[in-house]
Amino acid sequence: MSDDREKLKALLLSEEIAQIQALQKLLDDKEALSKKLSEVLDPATDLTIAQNPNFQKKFSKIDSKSYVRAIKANKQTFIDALLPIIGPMIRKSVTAAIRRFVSDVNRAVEMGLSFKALKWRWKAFRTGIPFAEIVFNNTIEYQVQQVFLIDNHSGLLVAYAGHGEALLQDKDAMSAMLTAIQDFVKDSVNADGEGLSAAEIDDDILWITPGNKAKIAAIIKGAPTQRLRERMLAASEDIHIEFYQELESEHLWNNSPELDAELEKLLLTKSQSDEEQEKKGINFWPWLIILGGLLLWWAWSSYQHHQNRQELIGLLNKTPGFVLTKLRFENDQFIATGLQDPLAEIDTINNNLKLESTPFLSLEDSIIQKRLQNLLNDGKLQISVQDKVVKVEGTSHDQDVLNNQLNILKHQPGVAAVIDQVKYESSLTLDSFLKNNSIPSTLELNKNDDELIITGFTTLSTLQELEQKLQVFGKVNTRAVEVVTPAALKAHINASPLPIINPNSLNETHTQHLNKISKAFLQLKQLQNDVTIKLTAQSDCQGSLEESNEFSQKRMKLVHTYLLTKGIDNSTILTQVVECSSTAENIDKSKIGVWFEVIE
Amino acid sequence: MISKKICMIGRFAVGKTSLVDRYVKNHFSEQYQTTVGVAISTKIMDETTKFVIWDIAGFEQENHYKPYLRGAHAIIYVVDATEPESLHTLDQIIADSPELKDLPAVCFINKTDLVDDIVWQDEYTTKITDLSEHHFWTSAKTGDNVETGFKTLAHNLT
Repeated sequence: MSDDREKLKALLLSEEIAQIQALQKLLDDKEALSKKLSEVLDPATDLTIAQNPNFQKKFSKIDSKSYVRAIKANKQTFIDALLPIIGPMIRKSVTAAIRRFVSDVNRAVEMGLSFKALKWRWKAFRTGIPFAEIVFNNTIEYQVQQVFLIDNHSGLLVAYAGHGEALLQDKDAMSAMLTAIQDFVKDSVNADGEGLSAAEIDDDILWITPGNKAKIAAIIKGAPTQRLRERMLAASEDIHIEFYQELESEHLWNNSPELDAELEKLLLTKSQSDEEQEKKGINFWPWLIILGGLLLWWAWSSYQHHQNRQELIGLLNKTPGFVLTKLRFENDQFIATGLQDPLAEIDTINNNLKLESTPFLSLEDSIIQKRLQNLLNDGKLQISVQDKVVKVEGTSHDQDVLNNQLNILKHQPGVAAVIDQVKYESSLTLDSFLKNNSIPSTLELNKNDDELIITGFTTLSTLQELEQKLQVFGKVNTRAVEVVTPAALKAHINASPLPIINPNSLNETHTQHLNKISKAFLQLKQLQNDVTIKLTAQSDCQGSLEESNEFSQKRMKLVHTYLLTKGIDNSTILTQVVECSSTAENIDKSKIGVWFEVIE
Repeated sequence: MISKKICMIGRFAVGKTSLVDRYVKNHFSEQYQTTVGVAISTKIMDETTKFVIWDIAGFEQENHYKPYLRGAHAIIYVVDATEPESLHTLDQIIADSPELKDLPAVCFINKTDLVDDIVWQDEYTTKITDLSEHHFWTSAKTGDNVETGFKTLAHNLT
């Protein structure tokens, strides 16, 4: 039976079976199946998406873990891929931050320097409100939208006020929920405190102001300030005082128009709050500060006035030539009464001082000094006074005038004695001195930057006299001056005969000797005009008489002629030849030559 | 109009929130969502009375519910007719807060729609009578006696 069925199946379904086997083979052969599917996958996907758009979403499912794995495995690849995106984003963010910063700085500068800012600073000073809060108040708006007065115990609403459009929720549920939240916070987080005091609800802010019996919950739009917080606290205190009965009696809850009206006052905007704040009493602090400032100013002024007065009294008492008897203050000016020497120097302008003084003659040293100085009126003379003794120093050109001046000083009041320490100086210049005073012809005067240099010769007395005269013109250098005396010159000339053997010429020794003689005589002649020099020529008379005399004549002539060449005037020369009367046997050189003698 | 604070008390999952939803919103959901802390609902009972209903959770955590009971005008005790153990939770609450016994109260024996699962004995009823003279076999799912129970409480309060 079974075989027949198999045969029948083979006859009827052999082709289908072969196809099924081929399909099975295809399914078993993954590579072949993949190849086959790849041929239709793309058009099949397009067709499926066209027929069913949701199909595409299946491919969009994000497996975050796969991303994390991929990023961890290929960090650098992701960095390279994201860098072109992140870079501009960072730059944009930084640029925006810098712009905000610049804007903030600009705003701060504007706020710091504008008239409005100054006005706010004054308000801050006057009211005691921090400047930052005033700026905040004037730039940020807020509005209290709803106010709930909620019984602390039950969480039930006692009273409510709100802008109609703001009432979006069940106010009883809101009250209860706020109480529940506050209880939760108090029990869970802050058991000892008041619990929740503020919260943010979307863009709104919830403030809960605690009270002994009931709390005020306010829903505020914008940015409320601390001033509003204080206002809420004050309102809570007022309500507990004025509406005590309403808070205690449950049947009055939600049924007290007065309480509702009181709450409506809390539906403040920023400007209303500010106005109320300004209306609310007078802030005495600014006035107290001003009063304190005035008191300080008065105390400081009094102290300064006292100090000035004391300083002025000290100054006047120390001022030579002034005797203070009284100092008073009138019409914003000090008035000093006392005795005043005309020479007393008091700075009335800088000291805001007026003098009502009686003139007198002060005998204080400094005043005497000033008076005598004025009297002399000579810039080259300095006067100092100590214990009435006057010392005069300086230089003077005229002794007589100086003596007269000193004489006057001696007779001034208060002067006990005058000490003359004045140095006399010639008023002449060197040139004018030289014009009127001839320098001895034996001397020569030269001047350089430092000193007067005298050269030549003269007697000691003449040199000393000249040196003294010249000292007024500067330092005198006499080191090059040859000091001589007439007697010494005469003795020198008389004791210096010239031995000459050869009567025909003078040798070098002779001329040197004669130079000295002529120089000495010329010096003597300049010192003593009425002198002559006598030349006496002689020989030893050995040999013939004629020859000896002739030789003596020749020797005389040689010396005479030479002396003339040396500048000795012929009229001052006397000559004498001692002729031989007898001949001598032996040669005596000591007798051969020319002798000199000064004749006065 | 005077608001009255009404606190719903009972073991978790006895149907407190469902009862409130049924009464306030006339709505019931089969899906169970546990209440966290407290849920507040309000219902105007008549021209003069408004119920502020505190659906309190957390009775399994000792004393955490106590602050929510402060100032309550009335109590609604809820027990599960299919879970008599929920009655024991009420005993513990009363033991912790005996002052609750002085307040007007009603008791809802809930989930009566689960007829086959109800396990109830007379002694349970006696216990409930100690808590409140008014008790109602309620079903948040069908709404049976829910409104009657709330209205009875409102009547007692006035």
